[in-house]
Order: sequence, then structure tokens, then C-alpha cells
Amino acid sequence: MKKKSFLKYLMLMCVGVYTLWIYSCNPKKGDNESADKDSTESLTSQTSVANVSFPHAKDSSCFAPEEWFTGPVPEPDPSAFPTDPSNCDFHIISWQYFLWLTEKVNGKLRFETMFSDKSITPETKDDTNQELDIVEQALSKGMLVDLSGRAVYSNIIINDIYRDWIIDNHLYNADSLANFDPKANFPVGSLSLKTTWKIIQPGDDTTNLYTTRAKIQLLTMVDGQPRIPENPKTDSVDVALIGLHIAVVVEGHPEFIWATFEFDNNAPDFKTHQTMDSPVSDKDWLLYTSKTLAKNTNVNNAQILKFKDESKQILTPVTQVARQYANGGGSDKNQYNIVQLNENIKGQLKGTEHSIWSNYFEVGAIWFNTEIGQLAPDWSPNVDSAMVTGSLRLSNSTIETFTQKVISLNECFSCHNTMTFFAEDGQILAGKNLSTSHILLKRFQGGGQVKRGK
Amino acid sequence: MSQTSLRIHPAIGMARVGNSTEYYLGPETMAARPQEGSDTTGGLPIKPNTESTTITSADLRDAQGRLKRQAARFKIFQYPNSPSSLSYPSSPGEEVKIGSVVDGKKVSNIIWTAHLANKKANCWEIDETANKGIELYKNGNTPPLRNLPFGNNAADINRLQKLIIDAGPRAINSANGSSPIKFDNHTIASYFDTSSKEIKAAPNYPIQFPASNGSESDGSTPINYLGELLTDSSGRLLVLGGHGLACGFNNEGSFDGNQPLCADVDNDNWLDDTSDGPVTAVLIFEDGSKLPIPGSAWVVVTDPAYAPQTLNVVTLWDDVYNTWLEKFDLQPEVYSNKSYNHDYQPDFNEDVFPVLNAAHMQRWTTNLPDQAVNAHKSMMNFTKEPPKMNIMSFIRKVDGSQNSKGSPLMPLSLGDANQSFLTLSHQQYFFMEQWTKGKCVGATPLKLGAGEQLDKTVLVNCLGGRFSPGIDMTFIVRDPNLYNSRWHDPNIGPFRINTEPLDYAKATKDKPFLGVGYIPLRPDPVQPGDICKFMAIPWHTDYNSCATHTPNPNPGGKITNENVYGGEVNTTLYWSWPAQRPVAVYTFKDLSVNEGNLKNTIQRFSVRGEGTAATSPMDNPDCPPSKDFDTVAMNVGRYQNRKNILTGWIKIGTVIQGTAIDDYPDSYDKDYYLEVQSEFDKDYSNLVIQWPNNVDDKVEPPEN
Repeated sequence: MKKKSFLKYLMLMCVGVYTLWIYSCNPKKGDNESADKDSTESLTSQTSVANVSFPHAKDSSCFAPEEWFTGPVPEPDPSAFPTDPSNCDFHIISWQYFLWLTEKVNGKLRFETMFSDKSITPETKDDTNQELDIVEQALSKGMLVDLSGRAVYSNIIINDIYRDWIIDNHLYNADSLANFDPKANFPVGSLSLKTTWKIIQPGDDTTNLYTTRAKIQLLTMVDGQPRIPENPKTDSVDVALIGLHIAVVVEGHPEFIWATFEFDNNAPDFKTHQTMDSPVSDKDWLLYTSKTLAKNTNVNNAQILKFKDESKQILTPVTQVARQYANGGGSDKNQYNIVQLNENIKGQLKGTEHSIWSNYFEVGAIWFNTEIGQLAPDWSPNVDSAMVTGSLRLSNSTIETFTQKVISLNECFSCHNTMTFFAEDGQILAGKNLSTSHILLKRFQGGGQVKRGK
Repeated sequence: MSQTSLRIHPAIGMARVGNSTEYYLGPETMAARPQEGSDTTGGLPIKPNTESTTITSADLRDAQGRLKRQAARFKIFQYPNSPSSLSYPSSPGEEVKIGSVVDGKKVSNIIWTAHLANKKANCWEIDETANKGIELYKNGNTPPLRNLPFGNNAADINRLQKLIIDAGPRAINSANGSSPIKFDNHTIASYFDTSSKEIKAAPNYPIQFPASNGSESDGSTPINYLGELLTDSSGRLLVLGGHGLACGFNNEGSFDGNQPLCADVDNDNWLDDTSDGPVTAVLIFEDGSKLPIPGSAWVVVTDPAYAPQTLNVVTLWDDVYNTWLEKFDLQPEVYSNKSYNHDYQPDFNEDVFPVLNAAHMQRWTTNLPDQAVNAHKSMMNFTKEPPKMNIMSFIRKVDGSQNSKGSPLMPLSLGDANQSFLTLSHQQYFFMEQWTKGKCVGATPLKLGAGEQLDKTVLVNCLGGRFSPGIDMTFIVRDPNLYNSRWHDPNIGPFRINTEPLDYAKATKDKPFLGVGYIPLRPDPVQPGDICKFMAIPWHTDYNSCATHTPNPNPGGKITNENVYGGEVNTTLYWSWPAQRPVAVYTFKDLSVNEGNLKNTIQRFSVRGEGTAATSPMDNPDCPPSKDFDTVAMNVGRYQNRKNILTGWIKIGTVIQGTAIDDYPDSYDKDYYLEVQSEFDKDYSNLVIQWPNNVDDKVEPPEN
């Protein structure tokens, strides 16, 4: 139904009398899909958007539909994603997912009701335990240590489509996974999330943050360094959501759209032409002390991390965080769309019952221009990046704090790619499209953090 | 008509400097290669006066703690019934020792002649900034000369006299036992005279040791010795090199202990005591007759081997072999008519496994992260059957299209000749591709005779790939002009240097004997000192520097203060020569403290003496400030003042397999390669941080 109505909408737009005007105003080929689409997309108006399932949007005015803010945000329909999307469309759907996932359902955020990454076996398929069980940063043994000395915690969450596809195809079994069609893709609608949470300290101003009570796994010394041990003790603490990765397969994009959101006051952006010896910001941020020099931000503590007080779980050194690439970089149009859409949505959220989310923003999103290339086995963006578009250097400053600076690791596909995977135990998983999923790779190697891209 | 031919092997032998008067013999097994019936892999040097007994950790230094030298051992092989036109590989041959019979006559003695010289100071700059290698010699061009105050023509007599160390030729008769013949100021030059068929003294030979009057000062030491010749009980030749000295001199050519060292590769006003030159031999039979071996070999004296069992991914052999395959029609079944033969079946063990094995070995001299170590370890499980994964997706293409792409493409070390990252040599890549196509299954291994195997083994144990300028030999090995093209002559054979015939009878005291000699891409034959001359001067500073660097050229442009965080420039640090210039090592001492548990054992920088704590800028007095982008993290793992490496190199430890370490506990893993015999009692450098390392990394003090 939704696909149909989208086509109808497109046809309507194609007869627009303003086509030539739009060409002249917005002649640049999109950095995502075909150039021609802009001429039709440009006729989109917010009134017509309200009549279609997917709010197909134009790049020159990247706005969210008003209907999102007058009631519950419509559930995103990944199958109705346009076949000729604009750059803005990817950011729109990213925001739609963010708002939908953060909507309260029976007293919990929707994503808090979803499945844990351990739910991918028949025995554990109902696992919705969202204990915070990750402290290690992406591709590192380092941890993001907040200014109070506590580790920032994460967990990984998936939806039923993601889970069921794995279970239905027995991909929790290493042999089944190894023998699976290398070109098979996750189905449309597959969704995985990674959250990051700061432990709230007495006196912390949490006015603008979403907070909740969560169970965390406690650290102790493992192999000479503070780590979560195999059978950890847990504690219940108040936490504030500071980061959210959303990876979703929409129609035509089996590579997943990788979008990421953060709390507004997490960390400053590097300036254009930021130098190592100059401060990133003159003000204090949640994860940054005013006037900290750029070279002292995002410092990987992997080999120097220590307990200052194990009983209080206080670590040293703390991490000063900054965002190296505002909006995750990419073309001017991409960044303009992100800025415009963030402003538009945050403005519309204010005063609504969802206003807490006006304190969060989309850092950026990254996906493929499928006219240039499709997801295929044995692919890495570091070898062929031609088809990658959107926020080309996208990191979440609370999840990929330390890898932002590494040229071979500074975007989502750097690690979520389809190259052969070498497990810790020496087993080899030949390159597959599904290898973008670290949940599967982790399962393949029998647990343990997946570290790719190096 | 077939006849017995005689050739000296290895074609190119490698001696290595050391500050000890003692020595061990160069390895005659290939680095990291599994050895049948032994837990110890190849690449270990050999104890003196033995055929093949490999050294242990106690043999690396003498009783005074001085680093022993590596002798290059030369052997003569006879090839009965040689065809008139040699193909490669040739027949197995057999070694000719004292007592061997050649064409019915018993060998009673062997006379060897070698000639050592060092022409580094009269060479052209390597131009470490341009990093273009042999390209700079194209179209009749040459880069700027080193030491221009001595004249702007390499053939100027002033330059030839003051900038070339020429010890001249020395001959040794194996009958004289182990009495060394020295390449020094006092020993009269001598050679085998083909007219008189005797060793002839050449008192008029103009032995040159410039700037040799003075006393050691601040690491600068007068040089008056390049090495010596010995023979063993079988009549083989042993060539020993110098003691690793560097010598500063002023613009008049006199010794100067205060010369600054302001560059890593091209330092004017400096000499060192590495060298190279031809090796020839004459068989003396019981009946008194003498048979000169028609061809010659070559000896190169170079840096110490601090990780002799760690295989380079691209070895010197790979570069030399590539030149011979592609320019000399060495094996038409592999390469002919300008293309590789896609029906060729490479031998997995010989042609493919070394690349995989080398990847596996890099962990012992680099700070690779755990996941890379795991991935490399799984390379060891491959067999001749094609891999069930797309391994070529990880191997940088050799067509130039991926020269600027770093991780995940391998090899992950830096390239040369205007190439940001290293690629395998063409035939290595071809052999890997053939393997993935199943061509290794059913392949017939190529059988090399012991002599030709030695030619290969010696070069396998040397650095290839990144000739900027390198450690043992440089980009000249890619120039066909370097070699004797008449290799089909069974008395010459492949891989031989295009040696200039030298008539020592014409030597006069008042005139330098050696001239400009070989120039890359020109047909001029090769004189003594022409091979080492393209290396860094002194070698120490290049060794010191070549730990990690950003790519050059940087694919995103030159790094500046303003673009360092912009995302276009590559700000990651990569290794230069990790297998041969260890960067980060595990020490046996640290492992012992952890009772053999490697997981809890930290890595340390190999170069970690006093003065190695990284600074920015580095601490080089009397040198103009560098205008290049520089950070503390870019300078880790090396002496901050280049002068310190002149004395610090003798303290660097050597990485060898646990099984070769004396008192290595049985309970420890036999496949650990650990640093031993370091004289850096305290670590003054910095904490080794796992790769990827970046120019803005915060540098931490080491654990002690």
C-alpha cells in the first residue's frame, strides 16, 4: 500500500510546472542517488508529504512533517523508502526512527522494550534484558571515562525482524553462518541500536537528558586492567542517555542506513582548521572541560587506564571528548540538510510531550549511492568508497571517541563492512554481506568484542 | 660441449658490522622458515667453525658485551657437465672444498681476493623528501651530489681522494689458516695476479682512509679499517666488515668530532665503515696448477641484523628475483613476453607461504593490535589448497591503483619510489593469485642446488620493498644495469653484479684507483663501494629514524597544523622496515617476570636508551629547525638526538626465537620471538601503544 501511494505521489510531482525552476535552483547532482530526482523532489511540499507514508523530502528544504509533532510519530515504513531518495530522505527517516524508538510505550521507551543482542538463538529469543554490558570503545580496549571518572556504558539492541532472520536461518550456528549465501542481505526493516549512557552523579544537572534506572555490569581488574569480567557483579544506577546509534535496512539499502544521535551538550565540534594546540571550546560540556586543547581530546586510554577507586568504580584518566567532524562531514548539501532538519525538528519538539528529545540531535547518517555501487562480499570502504555517501566521516563521539582520528576507521563502514572476518580463535568467516553485523561476528567467534578494520 | 663449470656462492654475500672483534657466520637458512626436525625456524646465524650449528643468545655478544659481527661465508661450487647455455635453476652442483676433486684434480688450497671500499660520501643524495628512488636517475639525470663543497663533479679528483674510503684489494691463501688479512691502513694491498699466477703485493695501491687522523669525539670516530678476510678449514672465505663507526670531517676533509647530524639519510661531512666489493677465487691443485674461477661474487657489509628470524614480507630476494624474471628471462615458464604465464604452477611452500609467514611474524617487531595478530596467525593454517576466502581482497594490487590505500590492504608498511604503501613484488602477487586459483595443487617444487639456494637464502634474509634507501641494498637492485647479463654462461650464472675488471698492476700511489663507477640506469660497470654508496650516510641515522612515519607521499597532501584534523591527510603512523628494524618488541626479561604469560607482557621500543623519550622538535643541536609538521608521537622509538645512535646502536637487543635463548624454560611457548641481549637496562623511551597510532597521540612514559 505504501509503495503504491509513494509512486502515485511521485507521478503527481512529475507534472509540476516548477520543474525548470528547480533545476536552476538546485542543479547539483545529489551525493546520494540520481541527479534527476531532485527536480521532482523539489516540488514536495509539507502539505503533500502529510498525505504519503514516507515523507519524501527535498534537499533545498529538509523539514519534517508537522504531523510528527501533533500526535505519535508514525511508525517508519522501511519498505516504502523511495527508490530515488534525496539526501534529505535519509536524514528524515533517521530522525523518524529516532523519534519512534524514543516514544514511551507502557512507561518505557520503545527501544527499551526491544530485544538484546543475545536474543539471536532459539533459546534466548525472548531476551529483552537491557543490562548495560559494554564499556570498551569501538575497536579498542579503551573506555570513555566521563569527567566524574565513571565509565560510559553501552548496550546493543535489535528488533524482531533482525532477530528472526538470524534465528530462521540458523545463523547463530557458526557452520550455518559460514555456509550461508555470501550475497544474502538482512531483510528490510532489520534494526539494530547501540546506546550510550552516562552514570548520573549527585549534583548532575539532568534537566535536558532522558534518564532512567539501569542495571550496569561492574568493573574489576582483568589481565591487569579494569574490565567487565566474565561473570560480573551488577548494580542499579541512574543513567542518562547520551548517544544512540540507529542502523536500519530500508528498501534498496541492505547496507543499512547508519545514523547516529547525541545529546546536545555532550562535546564540542572541532573548528574548521582546528589545530592540535588550540582549545576546542571555551565552555564546559558534559564530556569536555573548557579550554582543553584538541590534542588532549579523544585520547585512547587503552593501556593506561587504572582504577582510582575500585570500590566506587572511579577510573583514571578521564576522557576529554570532542567531535572531530561536525555532522559527520560529507558534502555541503549533506551537512546543510542535517543542520536544517535538526533545527526544524528540535524546534517542533519544543513544547510537546516529547520535548526532552529536542535536546538531542542527529550527528549524521551514512549509506550507499546505489547507482554507483551495491553491497557485495569482500568490500571495504577503505578500498572502494565510491558508493558511500552522506556523512562520510561519521562517528558518535560517545561510541567511537578514539577512532574518529584514524583515517581507516573514521566512519561506520570502516568496521561494518563485508570483508573476511578473522575470529579470535583462528576461524575464518569469508566475506559476506551479513558481516556488516558485528552481532553475528561476535556470535561466530563465540563472544568477545568484535574488532574489525585494523 | 658440456664441461665442469665453477661458481662462487652466494652471488651476493652479506656481512654485518659489530663493535666486537669476534664474529658469527651469516644465516644459511631462510628467516622464519620451518626447519625439518627442529622447533627452531630458519634465519639464525651460524657459530664459527661449524657447518650449520646455529647460535644461541649467548653468542650475540662477546665476553665484553660487544656486539659480534656477521661474517659473509663464500663457497665454491662445481657443476660437472654444465650445458653451454645455463638455465635456472641449474644442476645441483657440489661444493668444492680443500680435498675436493675437480675434473680429476685434487684441490689443495684456495686463494681468495676481495676488495672493500665505501663511496657513500661521493654519491648522489637519496633525497628522502622526494622519495623517488631510481626515478631521479632517468633521462640522464642525477640527484644533487652529496658533499658539494668538495666539487660538483663526482669525478673530481678532490672528491675521489677525500670522499672515498678505499682499502684496496686483499688476497688470502687458505693455506695460511685463520690468520686474518685486514682491510686497513697498514696492510699492503694484494691480489691474485693472473699473469704470474701468484698472490702479488701492491704496495703502490693508493689505499685511502680519509679523515682518519684524530680521536673519537661525540660518536665520531676516525675510520682506518673496513674489515678483514679469513678462511676456514675447508678453504671457504669469510669476509668480516667494520666495527660500525661513523666519522665526521670538515670541508677540508680532516677529521672533525663536532659535525652535526641534521638528516636521516644524506648527511654531508660524514663517513661510515660499511663497504662492498667483489670476491674472486683461485683453486690450487695438488699438482701445483691453479684454476681461477672465471666469475665473481660480491660482498656487502651493512647494518647488524637485530631480528634475523623475522621475515620481511618483501625481501631483497623478491626485488632481485623480480628484476631477473622480468628483465633477464630467468624463468620463461614463469614470465616471458612481458607477462606472467597464467598456466604456471607455483610451489605453495616456496612461492606463497613466505608471504603468509612473514605476515604472521610481524607481531614480534611491531605493535600490531590483537585482532591483527589473530588474523595473521590464521594465515599459518593455509595449505596449497586455494583458500576458502578472498585473500586477494586484502592484498594491495600491484598495478598501482591502490598505492595510496592503507588498511585493510596488506602489506601495511610504507612504500617507496613515490608510493605511499608497500606492495608485494609482481611475482609474489602473481604466485598468490595462482594459489587462489588452485594452481599450487599438483605443482612440482623447484629444486635449487645448494649453491643457488645460498644465492637466494642470503637475499631472503635481507630487506626488500621499501628502498628509502633500505638497510642492505637499495633500489639499484631493480636496475638491470647492475647485473652481469651474460648469466647463461655456466661460469657466471644469474644474480651476479656487473663487476668492472680492475687492473691492480696499474695502481699508483698518487692517484685514486676508484672512479665514479656505477650510476643507476647507465651501463657503467660496478666498482668496489658502488653498492653501499646508495645507502644512508651514516647508516645509523637512517636506522634510528625508520621506526614509524606517516605515508610519503601522503595521499591527502602534506600534513599541516591547519589540516591535521581535516580528514583528508593520513595522520596514521605506519612502519618502515618492521621485520629488520624492530620497532616494538617483547623482551625475554619481561616475559620471565610474567612467568611466560605473553598476554600480560608489555611491548617496549627496541631503541629505548637514554635520550629516546620523544620530544617535538627532536633534539639535534646545530641543525636548522625543521619546517615539516612534527609531533611528539611522530618521534617515538628513536634517539631524539641523532648523535646518540652513533654509540647507542651497540646496545640494541636482538629478537630471536625462544628456542635459541639460553635458559629458556621448557614451559614457555616455543614460538615466541623475544628480544635478548639488550644493553638498555632501563627504558627511557615511551609506552608502546597498540596500532593504530596517530600523529596526535598522547605519549606516555614507559613502565620500568
